[in-house]
Order: sequence, then C-alpha cells, then structure tokens
Amino acid sequence: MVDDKKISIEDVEHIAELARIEISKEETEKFAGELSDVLGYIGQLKEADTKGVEPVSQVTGLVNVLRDDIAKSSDEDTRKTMIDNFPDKSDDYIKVKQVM
Amino acid sequence: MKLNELNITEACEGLRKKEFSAVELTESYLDRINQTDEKIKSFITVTKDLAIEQAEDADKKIKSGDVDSNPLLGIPCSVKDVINTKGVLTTAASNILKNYIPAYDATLISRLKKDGMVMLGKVNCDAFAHGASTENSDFFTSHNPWDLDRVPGGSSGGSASSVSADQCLYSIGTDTGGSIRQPASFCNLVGLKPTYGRISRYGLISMTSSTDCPSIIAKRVSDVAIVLNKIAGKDERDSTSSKNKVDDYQKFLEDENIRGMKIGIPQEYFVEGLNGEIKKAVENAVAKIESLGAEIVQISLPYTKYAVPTYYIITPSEISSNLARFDGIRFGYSATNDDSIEAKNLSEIYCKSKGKGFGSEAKRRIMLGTYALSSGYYDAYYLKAQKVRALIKKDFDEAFEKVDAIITPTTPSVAFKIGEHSKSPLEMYMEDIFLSAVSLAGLPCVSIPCGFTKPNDGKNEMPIGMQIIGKYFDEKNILRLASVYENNTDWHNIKPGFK
Repeated sequence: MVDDKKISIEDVEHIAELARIEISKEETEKFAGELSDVLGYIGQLKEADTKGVEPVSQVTGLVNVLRDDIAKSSDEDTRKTMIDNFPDKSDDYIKVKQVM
Repeated sequence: MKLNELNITEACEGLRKKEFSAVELTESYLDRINQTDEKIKSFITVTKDLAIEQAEDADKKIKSGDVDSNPLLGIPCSVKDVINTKGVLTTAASNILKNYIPAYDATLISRLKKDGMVMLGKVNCDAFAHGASTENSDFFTSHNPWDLDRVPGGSSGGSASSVSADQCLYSIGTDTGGSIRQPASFCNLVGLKPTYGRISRYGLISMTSSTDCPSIIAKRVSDVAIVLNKIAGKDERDSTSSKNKVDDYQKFLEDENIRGMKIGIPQEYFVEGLNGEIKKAVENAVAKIESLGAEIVQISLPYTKYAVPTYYIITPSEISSNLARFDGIRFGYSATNDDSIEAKNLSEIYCKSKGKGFGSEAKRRIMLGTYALSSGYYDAYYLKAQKVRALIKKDFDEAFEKVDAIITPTTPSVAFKIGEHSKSPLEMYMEDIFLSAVSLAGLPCVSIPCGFTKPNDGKNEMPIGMQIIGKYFDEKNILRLASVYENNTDWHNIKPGFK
C-alpha cells in the first residue's frame, strides 16, 4: 500500500484532467483537503494481510454469462424518445463539436 | 377505515371485496401527497394522470374478475428517481439529468406494470444515490416524518419518507452500501436488500455495478415479500441476474416455527460508537427471538473493520467509470445548449458538461475513483480492496457454515439532524459502518423495527432498526424470521406523530 499521502493542488488538477471534468479553483482546494482525509482513512487497509488472496469482484459465482449476439429493433416511440434526448443533432444523428 | 394507513394485504383485500376502488385508493394517496409533501418533500415528480389511468385499468380488471395471483394490482407505490421509467422524468435527483426522459422501463418496472402497479411518482434521493441522508440531492432534502428536523436517511430517503408519511403503500429503492436499510431503520419501516443479482439491475442508473441492488421498502414484512415475489428473477438484459429458483416468499412466511434456527451475533457489531439504547434494543430483540425458539450463537467477523475503507475504494472506482457516460453528448445536461458556456471542441464539451452538471459528492467520488484507478495506484488501492473484499466474503461464508442468519444493529445511531454530518464527507461515509460489509459480500439482508429511543438533542422518540443477514439467495428465511419477530412485537404498529 502506498504511504499516507497528501493530495496536492497539482494532483487534483491532474485527476480532474484524467476524468475530463472541469472544477473551479475553490473546488480544487476543497477536494485536495477532502481527498487527503478520505485517502488517509482508506490507508488503514494496508495493515490487512492479503498475501495469497485472490481478488473478488463477482460474489455469487457467475462466470462468463454469454448470449447470442442478435440485434433487436425497437419501436418508433422508443427511437423518437432517444433522439429527443440528444443535446444537439442533425436529422436523426448526434452532432458533436470538432475533436481537435 | 383510513385508506392511507393500510398495508398491501389489507388494501388488496379491500379492493377484492369492493370496499373501495383502485381509483379511490389512488386518489386518497394523491390527496395525502398534496397535503403533506410541502413538509416531507418526498417527491420529485408526482405522476397523477398516469396513476389514475393505471388505477382505472386495475378497476376494470377487478370488475372482470381477472385478478388471479396479482396482489399488487391497483396498489399505489413510489419509485426512487434512479430507476428508469419510460416517458416519465427520471433525474437521479441530479441537475445533469434534470430533464431526462427515458426511452425504456427498468425490468422491475415492466414486471410491476404487468402486475397492475399504480405509480404515484418518482421520489427524492441523494444525487445518483451517493449519500446517506438525501442532503446530496441536487434539488432538496427530504424530511423524516418522526422529526421534521431530521433526515429520513439515504440514499433512498424519499422512498422511506413517502412510505412512512402514508403517501404510498410501498416504494422501490436501491441499496448499494446500505441505502434501503438505513432509511428503513430511521423511519420505522421494513427494508429489504436482496442477494446481489436476485432482482435485475437493468434500467437502474448505475452507481456501483458490483453491489447495486434494487430494493424494497414497506410497512410490513409480508408487504416486502409480496413485492419481491413479483420482481425477483432472471432477466436476459442483466447478465449478473441469477437463474436461481425464485421462492414463494409470501407463502414461506406462513411457517412460523423458528425452533432450532441458529442466529449468529457478531461481536464486531456491538462495539464502541454504538449508541447504548440501540445496543439494548437489539439485545432485547435477540432475547425475544431466542424465547421464540431460535438458538443464539456468538460469532466473529474480524474483517468487518475494513468494510467501509474497502467500500470507499470500490464504490468511487466503479462510479468514476459509470458516470463517465454523462458527458453531454447523448442525453442529459450539455454545455452545447448552454448559452452561458463557451466550448471550442469535444473535450471542452465533456469537461464543462460534467463540471456544471454534477454536484459536489458526484465530483468527489469521480475524482477519488479516477485516482484509485490511475496508473501507479491501481494495485495499491483497487486491487488491494478487491482482495480485502474476498476476505470479508470469506468471513461470512465461514460464519454461515455455523448459523442460519446473523443479527446486527442497522445503524450506530438514530436519524441525525439535517446539516449534522453534511460538512464532512468522511462522517457521512461512517453511516455505512454496519451495512457495507454485507453489500460487498452480496448477501441478502433486511432491516426491521425493533425499538425507540429519544436522542439527547431531540424532542421525539426515534425508531431503531435491526439488520438480519442471510445466506446467498435465502431471502425466504430472513423474511420468515423477520415476520415471526414482527408478529410477536408491536414496534411496526407505532406511527409517527406527523399528521
């Protein structure tokens, strides 16, 4: 486990960039303190001995649940509701700003 | 007869005997919402026209005698606003989804509709279910009918306040790390979190995909059993839903013999920090259950102490992935349409849509999760947490070789005052102390009323809840034990002073 670590303003800015989320200067300062507190608390996990323990993410024992890959069409009403939700569109297509 | 104070069985009987119609029943709840919700603030959206329409359909079916095995026909309920309802505003109590109209129903909603549900509306919660009080809702805080200065709990707080204030007969919520059990405990209700995968997650607005469970809150154990009967089971649209046989939970309650049932009491849940009155209430409840024939066994769950830190690595990590979809492109709030925002390219649309659309707690969790999963930290945080999770699960697996059910307090203290914990995220996370281990293990559990205490800083007696944890897919036996306790006590009959 990493040592208890204070999260710096630069760390917060880096994380925000990774998460593609804009945060204000006040939020940056606030999160630096709060994330340090939470990570400090979480840090107690390092004392748990996990040598040889297999990590678990699926608790009810399911393995590789597969199904046939068959497309199903939806009704016009469903289609229209989805398209109505597009923030910006051109005909029935989602319109996005230039990538670069 | 007050229509608003019935339980599901009574309401169902009244409808069958034509003592009242489904429309009358529904109207009485809509009136009640109208009269009380200014103070309680359970509802984000009241779907009055839809409810009346569904009630009229139910009345037609009842009239034609087409009511077989359909106890939820015409029974009014509320639905937590993180569950997709086709054509009905579904906000997750968040600004970023303030105007989102889903194109489809969650599987559990389609199943309930088939059974003739009457949906009164969508209820408040912490935004994206991140919280334990509804104070993280981007819209407003719900109030506890037992003391309006206090929270109803969370995140399914509007579900709890709506049932507790007689605004509906039952509510569908979700429980990811305690979000149905803690509000049930705070509001003197029965709250069931089933085994992970027992109820399909299709159509939930995902939070922590590996622990999210649709959950049920109601006034009686039998009510919860009736609803579970209708929504449990395999769904092709959720690959993590289970093929295991769905029991007839309601029928199982008829067997009141708990003689010889072994109940584990884990020492780690009766520790410093647990309110003395709550400890006493749960111990009394355990003694009662012993007197009814069960055998009490002291057990140990040593990895419990790591449950909250483990939960607060796994949860934000999964959240940072799940909430990445709210990027202003396909639905929800988008900087594209915001005249006050200038965005030059796609990346700026992402950043600014999320920056303005998400509230503090969602941002905090996205940031924490992004950090925990980022290069160089993955092994130290996420992988470590998944290993400790394995140990927490092993604790329970070993305990359940010796016992049939485990009893703990649901929360270390009663409902807290609005504003009491909202300054410190860490304090709020501690609300999950008795709840998150069970979620990480994916086991079924139910919180039921077991007493009252008057907090030092309060004027009213507040409810106490106890948690019964069961083996995987053994909802039937924890509900049966809960029902036997309920049948032999009166806590559930005591109603809040709120009129």
